[in-house]
Amino acid sequence: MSEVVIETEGLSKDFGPTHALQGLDLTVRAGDVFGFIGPNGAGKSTTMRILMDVLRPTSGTVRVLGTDPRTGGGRLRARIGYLPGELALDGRSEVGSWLDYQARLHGAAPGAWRPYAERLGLDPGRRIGKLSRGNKQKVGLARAFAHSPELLVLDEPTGGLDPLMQQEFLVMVREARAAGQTIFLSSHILSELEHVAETVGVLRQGRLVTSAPLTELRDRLGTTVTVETEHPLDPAPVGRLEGVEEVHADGTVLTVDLHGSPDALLKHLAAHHVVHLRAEAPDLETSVLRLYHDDEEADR
Amino acid sequence: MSALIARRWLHDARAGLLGWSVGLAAVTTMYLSFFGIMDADIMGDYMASLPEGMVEAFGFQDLSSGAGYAQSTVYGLLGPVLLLIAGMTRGVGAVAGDEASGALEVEVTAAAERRDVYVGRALGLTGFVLALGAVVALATAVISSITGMGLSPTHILAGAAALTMLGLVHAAVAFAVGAATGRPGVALGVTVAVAVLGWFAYNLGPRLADWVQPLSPWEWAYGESPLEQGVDGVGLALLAALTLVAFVLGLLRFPHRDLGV
Ligand SMILES: Nc1ncnc2c1ncn2[C@@H]1O[C@H](COP(=O)(O)OP(=O)(O)OP(=O)(O)O)[C@@H](O)[C@H]1O
Ligand SMILES: [Mg+2]
Repeated sequence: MSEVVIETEGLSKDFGPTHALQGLDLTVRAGDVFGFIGPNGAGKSTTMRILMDVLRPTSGTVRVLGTDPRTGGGRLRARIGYLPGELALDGRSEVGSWLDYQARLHGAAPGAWRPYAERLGLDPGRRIGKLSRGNKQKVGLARAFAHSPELLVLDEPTGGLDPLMQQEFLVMVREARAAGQTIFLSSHILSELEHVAETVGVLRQGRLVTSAPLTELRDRLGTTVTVETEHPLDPAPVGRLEGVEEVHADGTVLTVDLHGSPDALLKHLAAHHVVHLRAEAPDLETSVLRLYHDDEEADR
Repeated sequence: MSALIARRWLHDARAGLLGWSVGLAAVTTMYLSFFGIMDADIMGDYMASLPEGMVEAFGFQDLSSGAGYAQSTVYGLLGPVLLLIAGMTRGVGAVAGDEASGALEVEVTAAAERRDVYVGRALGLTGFVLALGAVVALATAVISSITGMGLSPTHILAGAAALTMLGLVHAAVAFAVGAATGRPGVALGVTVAVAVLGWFAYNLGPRLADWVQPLSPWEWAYGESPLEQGVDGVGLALLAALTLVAFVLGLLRFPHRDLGV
């Protein structure tokens, strides 16, 4: 098992009467690309702000790169690259001079940001206040990546980026991962992270609903098989087959939710005349949405 | 690290610094220039014509002497008004304002200690107020030499030091309350209250009770008429002490609280 980079235990944060985090247990391992997803107000930004020591937990423990953010101070943050979810920058500064300043603050060489600015198509001479939202986001990304930190904490990194720049960002993440950096990034939607995250944690109302490798999550969601036979099939025996979760019959078309091996189903179908067969992975997005929803039901 | 932060803060404040410098230089130059034009006797008559209560309430001094005139116009009234507004708004903005706008987050999440952010910005703010005080001193020296107000360099320095420290005290209170609470409105309210109460205590305090006036920062600054009498070490020390107390109280709180809540 690789080393743990972020670990929270029973992490809670209250804002007055609001329980933003309620006993969050989170583990992010070195070298992972961890996608932190959840609906609005789930507590993603709150978690990240606690990691960066902007906020202090109400209870529970936090360790980042082996250190408590409260005591790690600047020395710990030099090893982290952070992109705030609500990025606010002083508009009077020039992009280049501000990024130089930030590089110095992080103990990196001034100009370390240049390769990233170039890739993202940032003009260092512009005034930050005059930039569009997406271009401001690029300034924030260049700041986070510039000092080659061991850990990147990126709160909704693709916000405001056009599709081309989103692609470039994904490339940056893959390169960072290949260089051994750990990436912890948040989003509302899974599809945005699907191509880059290896592990996904789903947060809802300050609790982790699930945390698993993306491949495992996909397996867990199973396959939907649609079969068309010459004569209508009796759904009852199909429903009793191993791995079949749910069956729905509509004339000669049978829809089966399958988890695990399709072996039993195929052997059963072999006795019939199959006209058409289609197997597909259910849309991950809808499944995860269902995950938020199921949990909500359980709460009641 | 705090030196780097101070320099950057001043760099970002340079446009404001230039604007306030021009304003203070203009006001100082304009008002002090009138001294040469106006006849001393007319000034004396003007003073005599004012109701005594008003002379006292506005802290007017003998307008026929250069020191009295400079004190009544620039050093006792318009200078502090401008310098206090500049210092207070910058003081509030330096932490609480940037915190409310969110701009502070990219500095405290960098590899700087909270303490360094606080100290750095406090140093920047101090530099800002000192620079404005220097502008007033310089403008006074220039005009005094032209119009023959008879202010010696040491007296100008003494008056400008009092004015600057008066501005710095209020800037520090605004800064520290803002840093301790994260509430720009609270910081501004507290500082305006300190300034206004201090002003009334200085000018009207003696009518209320003996102990009122000595509590006023304005009395510490101007009680000994520095433009006339030279440097008042005790007054300046009191102003410096209050500045330092505010600074330390803010520093005790700022590193230990949630930001942006
Ligand atoms: N500074 C604050 N003061 C009061 N309540 C807050 C504060 N910050 C967050 N909250 C509350 O805490 C909860 C979690 O907020 P958080 O910003 O962490 O959610 P999020 O998952 O990042 O949401 P989003 O996807 O909208 O960014 C919300 O109910 C929010 O209203
Ligand atoms: Mg958020």
